Amino acid sequence: MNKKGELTTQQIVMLIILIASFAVILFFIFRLGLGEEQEREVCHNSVLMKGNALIPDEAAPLNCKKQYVCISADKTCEGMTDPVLKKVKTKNETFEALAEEMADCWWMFGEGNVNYAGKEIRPQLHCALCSQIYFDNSMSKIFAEGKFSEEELYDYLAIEEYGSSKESYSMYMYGSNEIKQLAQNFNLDFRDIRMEEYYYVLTGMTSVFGGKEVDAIGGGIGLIVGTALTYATGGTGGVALKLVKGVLSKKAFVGGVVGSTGAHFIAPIFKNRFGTETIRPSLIEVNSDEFKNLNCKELATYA
Amino acid sequence: MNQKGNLMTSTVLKMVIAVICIAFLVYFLSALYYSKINSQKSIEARSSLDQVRLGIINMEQNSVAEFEIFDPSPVGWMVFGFVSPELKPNSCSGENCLCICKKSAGFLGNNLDKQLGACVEKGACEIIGNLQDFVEFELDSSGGAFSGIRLKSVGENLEVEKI
Repeated sequence: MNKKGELTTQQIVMLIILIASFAVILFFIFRLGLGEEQEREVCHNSVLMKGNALIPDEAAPLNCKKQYVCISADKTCEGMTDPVLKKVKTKNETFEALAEEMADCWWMFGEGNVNYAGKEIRPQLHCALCSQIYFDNSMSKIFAEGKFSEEELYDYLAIEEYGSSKESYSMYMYGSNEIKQLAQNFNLDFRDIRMEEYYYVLTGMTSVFGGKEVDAIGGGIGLIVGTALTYATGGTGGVALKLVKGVLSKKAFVGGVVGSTGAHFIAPIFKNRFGTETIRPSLIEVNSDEFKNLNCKELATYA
Repeated sequence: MNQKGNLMTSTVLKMVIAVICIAFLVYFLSALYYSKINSQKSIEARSSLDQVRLGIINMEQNSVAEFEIFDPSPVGWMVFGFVSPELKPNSCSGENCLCICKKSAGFLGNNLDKQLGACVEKGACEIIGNLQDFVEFELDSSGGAFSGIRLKSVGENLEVEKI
């Protein structure tokens, strides 16, 4: 007998199916990891806002969070707590994971077309540490020696296409596929990426001189890079190289001569349309003298 | 047929659905509230660690053996030292570091994993390479009396203790 107010079996079943479907949808939404994507979008938007000349600097703070990424050959990561886990099986997949992080970083910070560093009386280098990379110990299955040369990574970047675009990662980030040749022309070594170290995916730019003497910009940059030396090269689409003399001894870390023994390729830089310099995405060891000598005055990303 | 009983079934079902909805609502609102509170406290913790960093620079430049930081905040959070070879919070990058974090609910002195998670999510850390291991302590106002963190340079190492 069907009484008024009584729920029929069909209604109850429908209700249960509805609740279960809702739970399943929620589960998949969380599994998709949209939060990470959202953080990148929020960062990108805050960078664009900051670069808008009509909005005062204080009204548009950067809202970029450093990602902790663990590249692992299995599903575990012992060296990090709750990281963004990237599972890889081959050398190329490892390079792809790194390339994606670098390209994302470049995109988030406006591809060199946005002045997120602002204006300052004394221009400073503003570094954006997009992510911190850690290689899980399981990566020894792929890299038996526990390291690989950055040269191989640049080879990969020059060959592989970025997303659905027809251009390579290297073309997208550096405007050239000849980063390796450029470094070799200067007789520069590529560093080894060692599995036991932590690395930053870094980009950055020097702020615009906010005073009256525009000529002071160059001087500002010279002061900031300190022991790092900057070289412009002709005929490569405005691409330049940033070099730091190799650390032959931790105690004796001083500026050196172009292409001298032990000089390493650190990161490509270029003169941007604001008249300052932009460091294009690169991998830099976290606790290294190379990073310290970049002398990043203010980090545009928070942990 | 018991009509009363039939009506009860539907009412109970409706009540159950209502309770689930209210529980969801309470969860989302409290998550929003605590996320706001904790992010504010993380900023306070960062600020206290900035004082620690400046204190260390001061000690190095002026060859001072001790430096005190009074009334660090946030009150109720813990000061931890993550010294090798322990697993460390991500922002320590494998180095020794000093952290001010919210105490994990399950932390009983040896439940490091839970506390690490809490330090990654709610807290701030400062890398101090020569930090010496110490027993964690809570930041409190000590009933209005001065409280704080004392940094002591002992040889090559840096000791941290509660005042």
